[in-house]
Amino acid sequence: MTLKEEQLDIVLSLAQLDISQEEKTQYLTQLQSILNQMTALDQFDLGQIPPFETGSLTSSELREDKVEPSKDLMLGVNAPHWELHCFRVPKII
Amino acid sequence: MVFETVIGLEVHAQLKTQSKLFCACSVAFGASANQQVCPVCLGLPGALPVLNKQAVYFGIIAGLMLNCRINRHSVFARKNYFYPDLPKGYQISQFELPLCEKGYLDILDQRRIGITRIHLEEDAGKLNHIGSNSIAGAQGSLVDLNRASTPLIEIVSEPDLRSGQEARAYMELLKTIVEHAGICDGNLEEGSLRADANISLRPMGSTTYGTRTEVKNLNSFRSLEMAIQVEVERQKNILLSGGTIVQETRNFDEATQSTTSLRSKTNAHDYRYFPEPDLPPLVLTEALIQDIQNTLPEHPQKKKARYLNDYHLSESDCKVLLQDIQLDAYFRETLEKGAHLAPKDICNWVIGDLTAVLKEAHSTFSTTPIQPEMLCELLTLIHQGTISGKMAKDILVTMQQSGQRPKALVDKMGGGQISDESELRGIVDAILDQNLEVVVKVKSGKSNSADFLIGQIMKATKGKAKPDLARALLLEQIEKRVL
Amino acid sequence: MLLIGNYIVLGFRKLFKVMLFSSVSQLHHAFKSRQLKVVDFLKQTLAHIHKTDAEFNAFLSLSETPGLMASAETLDIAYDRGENLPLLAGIPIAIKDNICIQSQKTTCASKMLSEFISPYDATVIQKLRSHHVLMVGKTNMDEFAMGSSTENSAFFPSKNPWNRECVPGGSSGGSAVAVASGQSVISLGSDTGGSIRQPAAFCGIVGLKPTYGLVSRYGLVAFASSLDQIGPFARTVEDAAILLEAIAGKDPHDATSASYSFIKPSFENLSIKGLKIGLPQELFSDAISDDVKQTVLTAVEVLKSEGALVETVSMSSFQAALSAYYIIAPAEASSNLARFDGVRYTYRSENPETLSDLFKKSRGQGFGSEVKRRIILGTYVLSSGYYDAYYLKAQKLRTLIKEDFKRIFNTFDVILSPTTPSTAFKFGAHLQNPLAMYMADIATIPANMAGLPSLSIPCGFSSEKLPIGMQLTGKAFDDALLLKIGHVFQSKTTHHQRYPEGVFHGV
Repeated sequence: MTLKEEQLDIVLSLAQLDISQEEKTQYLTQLQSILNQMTALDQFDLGQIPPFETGSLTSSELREDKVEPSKDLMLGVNAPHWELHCFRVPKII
Repeated sequence: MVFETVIGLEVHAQLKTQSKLFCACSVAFGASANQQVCPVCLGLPGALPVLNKQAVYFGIIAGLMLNCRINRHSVFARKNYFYPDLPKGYQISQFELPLCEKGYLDILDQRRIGITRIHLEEDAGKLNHIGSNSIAGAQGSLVDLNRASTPLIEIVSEPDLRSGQEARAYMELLKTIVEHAGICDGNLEEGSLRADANISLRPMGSTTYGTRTEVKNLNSFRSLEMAIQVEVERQKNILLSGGTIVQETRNFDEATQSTTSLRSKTNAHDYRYFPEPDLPPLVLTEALIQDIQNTLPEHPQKKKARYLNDYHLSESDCKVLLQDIQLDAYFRETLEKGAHLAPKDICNWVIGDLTAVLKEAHSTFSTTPIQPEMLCELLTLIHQGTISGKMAKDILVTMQQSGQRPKALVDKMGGGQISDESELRGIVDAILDQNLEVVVKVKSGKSNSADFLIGQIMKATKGKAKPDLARALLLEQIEKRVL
Repeated sequence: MLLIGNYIVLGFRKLFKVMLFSSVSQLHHAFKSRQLKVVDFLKQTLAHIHKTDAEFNAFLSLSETPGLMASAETLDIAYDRGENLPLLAGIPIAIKDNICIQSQKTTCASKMLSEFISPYDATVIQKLRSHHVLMVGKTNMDEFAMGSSTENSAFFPSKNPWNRECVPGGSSGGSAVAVASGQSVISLGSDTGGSIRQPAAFCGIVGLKPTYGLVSRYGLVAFASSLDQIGPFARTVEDAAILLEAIAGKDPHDATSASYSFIKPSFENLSIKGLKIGLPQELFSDAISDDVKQTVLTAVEVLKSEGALVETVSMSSFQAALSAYYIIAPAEASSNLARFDGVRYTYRSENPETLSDLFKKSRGQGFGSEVKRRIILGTYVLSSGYYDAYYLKAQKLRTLIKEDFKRIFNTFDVILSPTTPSTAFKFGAHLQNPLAMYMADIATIPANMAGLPSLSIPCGFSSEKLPIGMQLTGKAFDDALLLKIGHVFQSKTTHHQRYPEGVFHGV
């Protein structure tokens, strides 16, 4: 499967990542060689095999619907832009 | 060219749990910004979700009341996208294996609307835009995560609705059901119930679907119906002029009564769903489902049938009762305490006079001092003939103002209505004596004059004369007079 | 002459060195008998760290606070009174910097979190507090746990104490260096594809990845949720077992944690007679260096001489395990790292004009290149049109791996292999070729994919005097068995008693 730059652009948009043109070229090559390795999977007949399910070893223990009071979470300390006790972000459009 | 309208509704209902879907933060309304938060709903590094049992039960209840199959094995999935009100950068929802599937809701006249699925998911936080009411024109936004991770169920209908009217009926019934089930407040205006409409047109008789648009911002039943009408018109005009519909999300604007494009529903929203690795599959036992089935609240449609057939209430009575859960609860409580009274009478009083009195006094069924058993007492006094209906209306007002019981108020008035014939006859005679010229008028056929005399009798008895008896005696006594 | 445990000590200098390489039990005994004060040992530990870390760079931050000293003093008072304290009380421990400690920086060795102060404790940290350990600092790692050399740290690489031109392994490089160099007695790391076991092998110490679900992940910054586990580093298997007992157990904050607890087994009179060991031929292939193969096979002879029965087995699913891992792990990571968006607690790019600016620039600048590479790969394999071809296929192969292990464990008790294909490589050796770096994990990945416990024990040295590790993998929740076998091995060998001589020279 050949990875094209247009596909990489779509992925970068989905992942919200800005990278330089240099990095793009580098990643294209590297990702291509990584993806080429994935053909190792094709030597197995996977048709009828069910996909792995996480947490299938554990019982689904549910939480009781009780409220626990909130603690100090140092929101203002860690927030890049804290205003009126909210996280401020720039204009969306 | 005749077009058929095809509508599917996606409805989100906020569940009435105490805590959030994946953490123990409160979901109570009205807290100041970012107070009801914790590492989990904030999406702090290292935090993990743990599923709320009550939310699962509520989801099962919704499924059972909407005739769905409850999946014994369902899986949570991540819906990945970036937005400031989505702290983890993904929403935990359900995708391939939802909690409930393949249900239905019968609306209007035996119209069965299919329900594709119901699944659990978490709500996002809130954005308050700075310098504008909406995103457009805002200088920035403030993110409040109190609401983040509030439990929701998403109810997806099959594209079986064919008009705005049907869509409205569906929503109204859905609201009634979730309210009756006790799982959701069902308030469109406040946002505990939210609807998005998927609308498309196709030539009548066609079985393939046309391109659909999604319409958002439908925060009342009225705007739901209107938005659909408006969007159908818009699509019709495009198709008739040879154009094609763009698959997109549109916003309904109540003020301009139109829909405007929000964004294209294209690959930009590839959500890359995959099973949530932090949550094991949700496995439900037969015993649990059976338990919930056994304790389900009465289905509103069953209730309506009972009201119509057993209580002999009218269609419009039922509509009012089913739409207002507090009113209905009050009605039922009064009925419980007054088995000797006719349900229709109780219903009339609750829907009519009591509602009016509460409105005037800015009170509600839950805050009024008039307890159901007090209303029952009042109606019993009418039933016994102790007071007239008119008297009762006045007493009701006083009951709201003072909180006193009807019997006490009647005693204060100096007793109930006068129903003793001889006493009343005496009073009637006295009035006639004082109004001889009116008697003549009545005898010559002017019935209005009789009303005047009734009024005088009422005045003299301070409203306590039993009206029908007074009228009967009046006519009798007039008849007796030779004049 | 002073007696501490089994060591006869001559003079203060040697005493000092030996003490730093003591075991938990030895130290506990010394504290209890008041031969050694908690405060003194802490001071010596910190002094040693200061002397050596300018070179090794194991630590990103130290917790050298009055609070730490006060804790040590309180413990001394308790020991003075003869109070019954847990084995771990007063023992210095280093914590990998992707595990949250309240009011301390948790950076994950990334620019994205370089200023982040965690407002809460990870569950394992809360448990450690109840054991009165002394948390001396946060250790270096590959950024967001992605890497096998600690070269991907946004700050600086850590050095292998056995050879400073070589990597210590990754991603838990710093934690491995701390224990290998005597800077701490024990440490915590995390393992997603080998990130505890591989640096343990490279640094000549013990590293355990517990059964998935045995240790809570609450407070561990997630890399790949279905693969991550926190685990212990130590110089002896017994110390690893003691530490595992302290941190294991069901956690109501982690829905994937299992209802199993771990109690440290007795190590008295152990016998591995009749123990059936399988050697997967796929992990003794040409991909593994001769040096490593030979050393591990020699170690196997030790186990044989103790009565174990050894046979070669075939686990064909292992051939594709690496590919499947490099689909699943990046996929989950691409989603787990979406929360780092510049909004609430991360690095934010300067003066973003729009929201899109904020997201794209903060993430583009805040993440290092390996992290970006994996996010891109992960996003791609989950995206529309590619999900079935990659992610779904990989999860199916994962079932096959699980079945392969199940099949083998019908007949065998454990699986044994080299931990790594080579000894510690030189800095820069694989930086241009990510694929070559990924190959470092071929032997460790299968255990993560199947959720099974896996232990790396030092079993010898290469001709270049670099440590070599041998890996034991067992059935789910059979962690105790692996530790017992490891203990038997260590009771018959001395590899684990060697420490890098260079640690006390030239610093």
